[in-house]
Amino acid sequence: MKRLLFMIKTSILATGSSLPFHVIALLSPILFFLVFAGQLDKDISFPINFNTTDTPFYQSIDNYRSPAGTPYYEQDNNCTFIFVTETEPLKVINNKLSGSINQKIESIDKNITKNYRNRLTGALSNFFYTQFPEKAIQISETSLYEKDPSWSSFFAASILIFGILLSGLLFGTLSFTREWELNCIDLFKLSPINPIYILSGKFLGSFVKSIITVILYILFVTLKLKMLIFNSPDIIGIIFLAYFTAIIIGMLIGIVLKQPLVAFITALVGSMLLWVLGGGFGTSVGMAKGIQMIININPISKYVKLVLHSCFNGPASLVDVLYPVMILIISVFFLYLKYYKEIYKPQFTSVKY
Amino acid sequence: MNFFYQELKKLFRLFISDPKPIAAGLIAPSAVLIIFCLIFGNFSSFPIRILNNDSGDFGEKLRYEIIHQISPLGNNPYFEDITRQKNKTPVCTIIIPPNFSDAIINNHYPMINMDINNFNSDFAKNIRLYLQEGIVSFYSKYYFEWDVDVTEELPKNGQVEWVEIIASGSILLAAALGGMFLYLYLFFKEKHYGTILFYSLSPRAPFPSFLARIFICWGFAIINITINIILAYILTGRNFFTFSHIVYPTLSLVALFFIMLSSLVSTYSKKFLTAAMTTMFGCMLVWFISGGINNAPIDNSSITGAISMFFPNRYALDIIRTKAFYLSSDNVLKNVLILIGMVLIMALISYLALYKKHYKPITS
Repeated sequence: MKRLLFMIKTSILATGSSLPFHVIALLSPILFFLVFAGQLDKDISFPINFNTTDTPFYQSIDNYRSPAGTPYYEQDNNCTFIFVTETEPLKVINNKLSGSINQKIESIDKNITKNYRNRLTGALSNFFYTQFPEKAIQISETSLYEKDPSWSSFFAASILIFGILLSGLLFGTLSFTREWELNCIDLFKLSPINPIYILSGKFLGSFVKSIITVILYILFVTLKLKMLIFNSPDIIGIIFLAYFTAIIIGMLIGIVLKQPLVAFITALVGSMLLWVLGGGFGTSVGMAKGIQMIININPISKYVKLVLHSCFNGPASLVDVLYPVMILIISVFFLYLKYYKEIYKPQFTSVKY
Repeated sequence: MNFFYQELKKLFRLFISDPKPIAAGLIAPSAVLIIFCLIFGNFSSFPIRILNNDSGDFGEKLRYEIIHQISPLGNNPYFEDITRQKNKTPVCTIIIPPNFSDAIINNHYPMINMDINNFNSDFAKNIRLYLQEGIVSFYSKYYFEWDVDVTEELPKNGQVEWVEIIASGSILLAAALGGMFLYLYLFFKEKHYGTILFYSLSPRAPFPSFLARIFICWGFAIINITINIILAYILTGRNFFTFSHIVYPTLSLVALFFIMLSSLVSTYSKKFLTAAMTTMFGCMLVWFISGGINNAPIDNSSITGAISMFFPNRYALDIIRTKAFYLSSDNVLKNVLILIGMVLIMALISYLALYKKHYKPITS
C-alpha cells in the first residue's frame, strides 16, 4: 500500500517535468468549448436588418420563436450583410395574404443563404398563421428531449468527453514515456513487484490528475453557462468509466511509442478524431454513409449518448453502457499483456565471450 | 554571402536529419481541413419518415412538397424520405392524420404530428425550418389565400460552399504552423548541441545566420502551403493554384510573421516543448478568432476581435478570399501594407531580441 501511494505521489509530482502538456490538456476542452459555443453565442437567434419596421409582418417577428421560446431573429441595425425589405407590405386583401418581400444577402457563404432563406420562410409561415389560423397547417410536436438543449450547453456536454479523452490518453501516455525518457524503465524490468501494482499506481496517479482537469472544466462551463448541466449522479459513473478506458489506452500507447512529443501528438490528434468520429458534433445524420458507420461502431459515440442522457435526459440503452465496458475490459487485457511482454517478462540476451 | 550559404547548408542538414517537424507542421492544418470536410463537406439530406394516413389528396401533396425542397447548400433536397427503409433512423417522423384534407377544405385547423430528434437547438431549428420550406411551398401551390412574392438578391459573383471558406483558412494555418514549428525545432536543436553558444564568440554579425533560418523555414512553409492547397483541391474542388500569384506572396508574409514570432518565443523560452506548445496552441487560437473557419465580419469591439487585429491572419484571409471568391473589396492594398508593416516590425523585434540574448558581447 505504501509503495502504491508512493507511485501515485511520484506521478503527480512529475507534472512539473511536462507542464506544457498538462496545461494543454486542461485548456484544450475549455478553448474548444469557447470556440464552438462562440460560433452561436446567441443560440439560434441570427442578426438581421429589417428596412421596413412599421408593418404587421415586422411586428409578427417578435412572436417568431422556437418551441423553447428562443427568437429566430434579432433586429440589428448594424448588420451589414443581410437586409430584408417589404417592397410591397404584406397584408390581407380579399381574403388573401399579398405582398412582396426582398432579401438581400451580401455574404459569399452558401450556408448563410440557407440559414436566412429558411428563417424568412418560417417567418412568412408564422405570419400566415396569425392571419389565417383556421387554414394554416399546425404542427403538434413530440420531441426526444423534453426541451431543446441549447447549442452551447450541448457542446459543453459533448466536449466533456473530448476533455476526458485528451487528458486521459495524455496522462496515461506520459506516465510511461517519462520512464522511457529517464531510462527508469530498466528499474521496472528488474523489479520483482507484480505488474498489477505498478500499473495500478501509474493508473491512479494519472486518474487523480485527470479528475482535477475535469473538475476545472465543469467549474468553467458552469460559470460560463450560469447553470449546472452536469447535475445528475450518473455523470460520475460516466466520467469514471471514460477515464478508466482513456488512461488504460494511454498507458498502452506510452509503452509502445516511448517519446513524449510523438505520444502527445498521437493523443491530441487521436482524441480529436475519436471525438469527431464519435458523434461529438451530435448525430451522425446528414454525414456521408461511411462516416455514419464509423460513428456507430466508435465507442466514443456511446459515451456521448450517455452524457447527453445524463445532462438532458436523452435516449440511451443498456448497449450504450455494455459496449464501453467491454472495450475497457479488452484494453485492460492488452495493457497487461503488453506490459508483461515488453517490460515484466524476463528477457535473456546471449552473451558473447 | 558565404556565411549565409554555410548556415543554410547546416540548417538543411539538421532539417532532413529528423522528419518530426515535417509531420507536426503538416498534420495539424491537414487534420483541421479533413475533420471539417468530414463534418460540413457533404450537405446530405436529413432522413425523414412521413406516415401519410390522409383519406384525401392533400396529404400526398404535402409529402411531395416536403421532400422536394432544395437547399442552396449542396443543392440537395433538405429531406430524404426513408419511410420504406426500416434500417435507417429518421431525424423526425411526420404523421399526417386521416382528416387532413377535410380540415384544409373546411378551414378547420389542419394539423400534422411530428416526432423530432431535438438533441440541440440548432439541429432542431433546422428540421423545423426545413419542414416550413415544404409547408410554404404547399401553400403557394394549393392555397388561394397565399399570394406572397419573395425575391432574393445574392452576391453577383456567386457564392461558395462553407468548406471552401474553411479550406482557404486551413491553407493559411499550414503557412503559419509549418515554418513556425521548424524554426523552433532547429533553434532548440542548436541549443541542445550547444552550437548556439559559438555565435556569441564569433566576430561576425549575426544577420546572415538569422536570415538563413528565416529562409529555410519560409521554404518549408511554401512546401506546406502547396501540400495543403493540393489537399484542399482534392477535398473541396477549389483550386487555389489558379490564384498562386496572390496566395503565395500573401501567405509568405503570414509565414514570415509567425516564423519571426517563434524566433522571439524561442529566444526567451528555455524548453522546446514549452515554446512549441505555446506557439502552436496560440497560433490555432488566433486562427479561430481571425475568421479561420468562417467569413463573417469580425466584431472589433469584442475581446477576440480586438486581439485578432494584432495578427496578420484576418488581413491575409481578406486578400485571399477577395481574390479567390471574386469579392469586391477596397481593402486589398491596405491589407497588403498592413501585412508588410507587421512583418517588418516583427523582424526588427525578433532580431533585436536574438541579438541581445545570444550575440551581444557580454562584458563583466
